[in-house]
Amino acid sequence: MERHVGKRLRIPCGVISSPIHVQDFPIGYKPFLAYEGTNQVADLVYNSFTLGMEDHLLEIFGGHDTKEVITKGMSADSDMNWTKDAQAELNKVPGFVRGKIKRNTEKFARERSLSEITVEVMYAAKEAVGA
Amino acid sequence: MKLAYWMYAGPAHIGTLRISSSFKNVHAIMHAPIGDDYFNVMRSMLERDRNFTPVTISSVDRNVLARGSQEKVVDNITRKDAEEHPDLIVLTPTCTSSILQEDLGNFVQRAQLDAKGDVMLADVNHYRYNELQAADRTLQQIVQYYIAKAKKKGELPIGKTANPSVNLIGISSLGFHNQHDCIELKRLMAELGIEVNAVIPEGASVHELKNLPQAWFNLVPYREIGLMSAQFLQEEFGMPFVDITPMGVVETARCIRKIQTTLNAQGANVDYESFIENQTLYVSQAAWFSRSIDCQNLTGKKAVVFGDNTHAAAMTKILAREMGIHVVMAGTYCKYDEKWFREQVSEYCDEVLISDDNGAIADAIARHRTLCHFWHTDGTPCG
Repeated sequence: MERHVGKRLRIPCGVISSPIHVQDFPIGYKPFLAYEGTNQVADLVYNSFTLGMEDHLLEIFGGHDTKEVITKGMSADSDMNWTKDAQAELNKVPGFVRGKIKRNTEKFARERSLSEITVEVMYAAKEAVGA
Repeated sequence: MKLAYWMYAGPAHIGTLRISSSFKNVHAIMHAPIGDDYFNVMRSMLERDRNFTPVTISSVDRNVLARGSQEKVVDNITRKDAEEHPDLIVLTPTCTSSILQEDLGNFVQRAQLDAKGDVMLADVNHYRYNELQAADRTLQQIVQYYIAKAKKKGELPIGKTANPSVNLIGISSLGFHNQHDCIELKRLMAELGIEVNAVIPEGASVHELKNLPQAWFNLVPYREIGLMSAQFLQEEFGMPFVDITPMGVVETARCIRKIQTTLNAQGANVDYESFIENQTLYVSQAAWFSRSIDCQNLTGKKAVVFGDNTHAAAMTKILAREMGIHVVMAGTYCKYDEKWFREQVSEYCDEVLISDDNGAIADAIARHRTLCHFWHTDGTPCG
């Protein structure tokens, strides 16, 4: 339960006790008692805190959700001019294929010496690859 | 109004089932309505046990409500006895079926007339006890039963083992990292030159229980399960027990020193000081780590600890004494054993929280967060 509280409050959390969860039955050797236990506990504590620091880095660099970052990166090395409507249309495309569609559309436009990509150009590019 | 119950420790019958199904060749019959039988799911999907869970539900349904369940329960016990030949069948009610106030003790006596194995009613008050208390009690009940049986037959062993030996009491199914702890404890005992006489209940046969008294002492690593059995064996045979949880460098050393005292009081001549020193300084990475610059990054950071008595108390001590972390709050959901927890942690934390109300616990964590500059929590249970 407190793990979820931790998530909500953005507090890192290590699990040290039941109530049990499937993750509390690791396949690897993870005792809590005796001397190997001291090592495991030290790792658990230290890793929880380290992740706490990484958490700040994640905020600075835009989080785990990298779709936004990829889109930005793609447009930075593109010399094509996308109209507002076309950009909006592109953003509707699911993130995992967005980059590919953008590259293919730009390739299509370049081959036809089009300097501006409109929604019409996008549909034409789509037609051209038979999709 | 509190809406969520059994969030931390489960209801009593779960504790009884954890003990019965930890033993080898022991079957449990639950006198329960369908729906109270999620224990099988916990064993197969959480613990991922490779064997079938030896638990059968004798369901409380409309027929039972109309004419009582004696016939059905007795049939179920004798059928399981014939089918699987268990050494012992434990009958347990649940909170729900307790409402029927049927005389389960009488059912057990009836079933015992036909059954070849032993039949026992788990003697637990389902309205007063939770999972952990019930587990502790059921383990003691089974130990007591087989000690009494052996005594009657004159089968109790005479004297102690030739070399120092120990019973590890309280290792159980669905316990937090219990299997790994057990391996580590066996390793520790081997390094101390102590033979492991028995591990109960996990993987033990009830027939071995009569041999418990031949060990030099009992080790109870967890506060929640095993203490009642160790106390029984102390009263019955004068067997000493060590109940210091060997978790963290300091407490592990304290546990080993207590073992040393216990063995030497019985005529052994052991000195574990050099072992402790060697382990602490050179083998365990934790002591070295806590002196390192990496760990100094943790100094002054703040934490909340929450969990069962054993782990929350041990973690509070480790964070405060071994890692220089400021524990602003230490808490447990073992309300029934509050006094012990306060004694253990009071000097190592600013505030103690005893609660099993997840909303109140969440509020307490949030309150501390707003008070703290750097906030990190560690050691919270999950769910």
